[in-house]
Amino acid sequence: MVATPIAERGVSGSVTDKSAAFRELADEHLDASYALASAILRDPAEAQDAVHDAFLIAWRKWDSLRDPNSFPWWFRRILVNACRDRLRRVTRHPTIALAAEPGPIGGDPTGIVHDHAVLDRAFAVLSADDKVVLILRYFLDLPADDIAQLLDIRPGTVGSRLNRAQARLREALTESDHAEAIS
Amino acid sequence: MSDRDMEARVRSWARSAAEPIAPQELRRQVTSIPTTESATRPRPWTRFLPGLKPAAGADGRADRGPSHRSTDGHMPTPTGRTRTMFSATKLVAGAAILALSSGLLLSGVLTTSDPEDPLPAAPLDRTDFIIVTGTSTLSGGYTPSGDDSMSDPRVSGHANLVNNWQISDVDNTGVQWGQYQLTNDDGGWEGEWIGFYDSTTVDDLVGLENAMIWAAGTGDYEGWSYVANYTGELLDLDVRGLLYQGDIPPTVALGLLEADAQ
Repeated sequence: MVATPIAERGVSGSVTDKSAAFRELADEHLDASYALASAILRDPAEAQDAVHDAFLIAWRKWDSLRDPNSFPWWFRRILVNACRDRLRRVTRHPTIALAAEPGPIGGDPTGIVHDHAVLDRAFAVLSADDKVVLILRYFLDLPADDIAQLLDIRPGTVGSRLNRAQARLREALTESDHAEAIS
Repeated sequence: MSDRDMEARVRSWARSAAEPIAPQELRRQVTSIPTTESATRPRPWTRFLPGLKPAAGADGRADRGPSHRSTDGHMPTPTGRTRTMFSATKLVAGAAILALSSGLLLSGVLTTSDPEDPLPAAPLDRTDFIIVTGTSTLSGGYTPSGDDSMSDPRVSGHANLVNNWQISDVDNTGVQWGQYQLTNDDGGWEGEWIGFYDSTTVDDLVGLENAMIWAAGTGDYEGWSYVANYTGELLDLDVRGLLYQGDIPPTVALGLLEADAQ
């Protein structure tokens, strides 16, 4: 007899099976989830809280997961929503770093560190929705249709959010390049 | 700058903040969710304590929660079974004392009429305060947050809490407390909150499980007080509170809330 994978048993099985299935899937997807959350939130502590909240919600909604194969997509929606909620809170209560981080040892010959600092500042003023779309596009490389499905919005809305965010980042990079060229 | 160049720079930046490996403590918390969530019916505030009730370790001790953030002096440290000042019996006694003081304070405010009394003690009537009700999506661990949707827009908005706790290993009861903040476009509320935790007795300590906040208004709400009870289930909490123009002792406000409910 072929044993049923534990994740499949977890969907319709006993509480023990469900717990085991949840643990297995959570363990398997935790690193990727934490990477996505930290890419969106750009703060490890916020990312930890968002991931924890998302898995808590996932456990409570576990019975609504019919097909264990759809867990990655199903959970990603929960996680992205949790991150977006946190971004909205952070936007409402912006924090200011007490001191600038020290520059890289040995300078920044490739300009990457400077680039990232410029993009960090530009990203900070985007809306939570624009930030999420931008990261889903550039971190996960998701096409607009997939982003639309994930966020439950129209592909056209994804396009307009992406254009707005890209324009802001391009403007910041262009200004920075120009300032550097002058100096 | 070409589109391709820009995309490459943004892609490099987008990936720069991604942490590839989740911290072990987070893994432990997440994989213990079925254990901590299935033990009892949903209780207010208890899930603000990630990792509170994991399975006992090999040495038979219960790990009392994360250690990677315990340097702030508030978090309990997993140093084994410690007896603290908190117990179910003491919580019941505390409830009785709180109820008695509340009653005394309430009766004092409502009945004192001695003209020689230097303290103003005019009776409060229903028009002096506003009862507000609503729901809250508060959730989280060390710094819970969520949105409160209330019958009065002045106390609707985004709520943030700092969550400290002291839980006994002996009977798994304890107290939680911290700062409370709620903000909206016109102002906000800043104050404190307290809640009691008990994982073993469900019915005996009903009432103590409620969390209470008391806060002073800021911005457009300067000069107002807000006292409220949060009850029910995390992410879908019921909130019932009282708005008062001026200072009001929290126990008096709770007494008025109770009286109004009857």
